[in-house]
Parts: sequence; structure tokens; C-alpha cells
Amino acid sequence: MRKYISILLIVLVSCESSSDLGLSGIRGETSFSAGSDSNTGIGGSMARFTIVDDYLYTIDSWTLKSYDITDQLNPVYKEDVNLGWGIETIFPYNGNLFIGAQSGMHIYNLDNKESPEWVSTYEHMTSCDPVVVQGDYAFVTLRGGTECQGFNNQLDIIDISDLVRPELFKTYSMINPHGLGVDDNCLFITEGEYGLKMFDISNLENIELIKHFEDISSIDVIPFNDILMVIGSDGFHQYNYDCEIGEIEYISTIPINSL
Amino acid sequence: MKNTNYIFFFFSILLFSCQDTCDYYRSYTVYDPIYASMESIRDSVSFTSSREINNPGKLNYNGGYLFISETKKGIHIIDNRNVTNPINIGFITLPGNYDLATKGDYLYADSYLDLVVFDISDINSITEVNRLKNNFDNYYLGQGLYDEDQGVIVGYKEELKEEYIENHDCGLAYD
Repeated sequence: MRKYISILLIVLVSCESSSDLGLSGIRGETSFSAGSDSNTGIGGSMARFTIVDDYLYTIDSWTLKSYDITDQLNPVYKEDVNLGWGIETIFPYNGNLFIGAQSGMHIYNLDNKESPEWVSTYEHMTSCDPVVVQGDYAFVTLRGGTECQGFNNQLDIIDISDLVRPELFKTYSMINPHGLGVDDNCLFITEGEYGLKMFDISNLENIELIKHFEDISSIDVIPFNDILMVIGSDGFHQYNYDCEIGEIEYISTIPINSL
Repeated sequence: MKNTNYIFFFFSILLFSCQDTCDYYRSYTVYDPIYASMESIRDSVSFTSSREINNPGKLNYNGGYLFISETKKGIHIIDNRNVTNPINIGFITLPGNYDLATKGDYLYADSYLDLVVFDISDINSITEVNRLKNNFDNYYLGQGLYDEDQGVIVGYKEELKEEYIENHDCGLAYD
């Protein structure tokens, strides 16, 4: 019996780790969130740890924990917030936390930083789904497959101008989307073994594919200061991008020896 | 009497076919959990020279340096101040690591049940400076990945088993 349990566990773990790998390409809160310090690091869209001002937030499958890191050397655990099930990613933006879950996207406000408070949930089909936010829109990729359940592979653009009532703005189909990152008019979507895509999102009604690097593997991205950092199973790649003119150019790679 | 014989013969065949069975080999894989104590995991943390990236996880970029989780093993440190020539400069051995965040001189990362704080002010000599033990035990307990006596499950031993099944009903032989 124990052996069967072990096998089941592996299945569970693999879903977890794929969401890990399903990892995070979001823009960290450094450049976007109000009031955050510029020395705060930037995570990818698959991140499950994030820092907003003097608080560290961590998520696991169902719990959000807050830590006061005013004294950075000595984090003080503050609170557990129950988030429901299938929690995968956390993205801070403008005084809110956007939490990607297998059932949808949850919004929590940070008016009380110790104890984030639920604002709303945008529900979608069960899938793996990191989220990044810019302005009045959240960008959520939904990936199906055995580890994520569900069958859909798509990008949902969600209107969050009213945080209490997030609404689907438009859906675009994708191949196998993992992490994503947004910067100004550039949206980057990692398609796993199917490569990396760059879109011009100046018109959200009709986003435009500018470039598709099909020959690399990509699972998460960090766009920062016109440099796109991409992690995939075959390497850590970097590109120079320009959202004004919609160009992207390869710079360098550190190879990864996938075992 | 001759008729009776025929009937008996007929029934014998029926009975015989009912008893028909199959013998076959069945093979399957068993995953046995490997446990490690949190004490031994805590003792194994170290900062060493760079190592090959095999199974990258989460990323965190801060001040020209990139931190890449090597899933369940530790954290790679990449000097990316020159983006045309990023250099893998070091590795933090941190078993059970998936997630990380940085601010200023500090890196926060998980190691199975613990939240660990590293001082990254000297990128060539990163040291553990604090640890909040058992902060994530509820998660590991809930997933069945932690046992208070045996520790955390750090991996699985895969074993291919084969067994000889005798006298199995043929119709169910390969279910």
C-alpha cells in the first residue's frame, strides 16, 4: 500500500515541480509596484516567493505566508492566509498580489501588509497558469496536459480595471505556454519545447506576433531594461529587445546540460 | 448407456475449459521513498565554486547578478553584469530548494521545511546567516513528504520488480 502511495506522491510532486519549472516570467515589482525599493530582486512569472517593501510573501499549494523583513537579517513570521487549492504563482503589482492558481487568478490587496485580504477571483478552466500584470490588464497563460489537468493552451487577457470584477478581455490560443513577461508594448511567452514568442501588445484587441524563436526551449523569462533573460531546459539565453520598434536580437547563452 | 457416456464426455470438456488458466510474468516499477533528516540537510549547506546547470527552476535578478534555482539541489550564482558574457561564478548547496527572493544584501530561499537567509553582500563568499526552521512543515506533512521520525523524502529508489503469476484466469492475465 505504501508503495502505491509513493507512486501517487510522485505524480503529485511532478505536478508541483512542473509548476516550478512551469516556473515564473513576470516582471518583478521593482519597476512596477508603487513604493517598492529598487534593490528588491526581480523574479520570473513562476515565482512563489516575492518581496513587497518590507514584507516577504511565500506561497505553497494552498497557503500564503507573510514575513516582516524590516530587519532583513531576522524575518518575522506574521500570518498564514488560506488560498484554496492548486496555488502556483505570485505576482505583486501596485499594492496587490495576483495569485495564479489551477482554478483561476486570485487578487489580494496589501492594505494590511501582514495579512493580505481577498478581493476577487477570476475563474477559468483547470490548468497551469502563471500571471503577470501591467496597467489595467492581467496576462494569464493557461497550459493543459497531464500534470496541469485541463486541455486548453491559451493566453487570457483579463481586464482588471475594476479589481473587484475582473473580466475576460480576450483569449489567444498558444501551443504549450509556460512563463511569461510583459514590458511596455512587449509581451514574451515561453512555449516550453516550442520556443519563445515576442508579441507587440500595443493593440490588445489584436496582439501581433513579432518573433518566434522555435529552436530554443523556454520555460520562464525576466524582461528588464531591454534585456530579456530566458531560462529553458537547454540553456539560459539573453536577448536585446526594443518595444518601440518591435525588434529582438540574440546576445548570449549559458548552456544547460539537462539530465 | 451409450448416451450417458456421451453426456459425461461433453461435461468433462466443459469442466476442463473452465479450469483453463495462464501463467505469466508481470513486471512493474516500485518507487521507495528515500528519507533524510532535517539535521543532515541543514548541515549540508555550503557555498562552492560554480557547477553545471542541469535542472533550472526559479530565477531572481538583482543588481547585475542572477540567481537560478537548481531544482531541489541549490542555487547557481551568475555574474550578468556583462550581458554579452554571463559567467557562472558559484553555487549554494541548498537541498530542497525551489523558490527564492532577494533584497539588498540578502537572499531568502526555502530548503524543504526551512526558510533560509543568506548574506550575499560578498558575492564570492555567500554565507547562511539565519534560518527559520520548520516554517513549511504543514505543506510537507500535507503532501506526505515529511515524517517526524524519518525526516523528509529527498528522492525515490526505483526498482523494477518481476513476478511469476501462476494459475491466473487467462481473461484477466494482462489487466
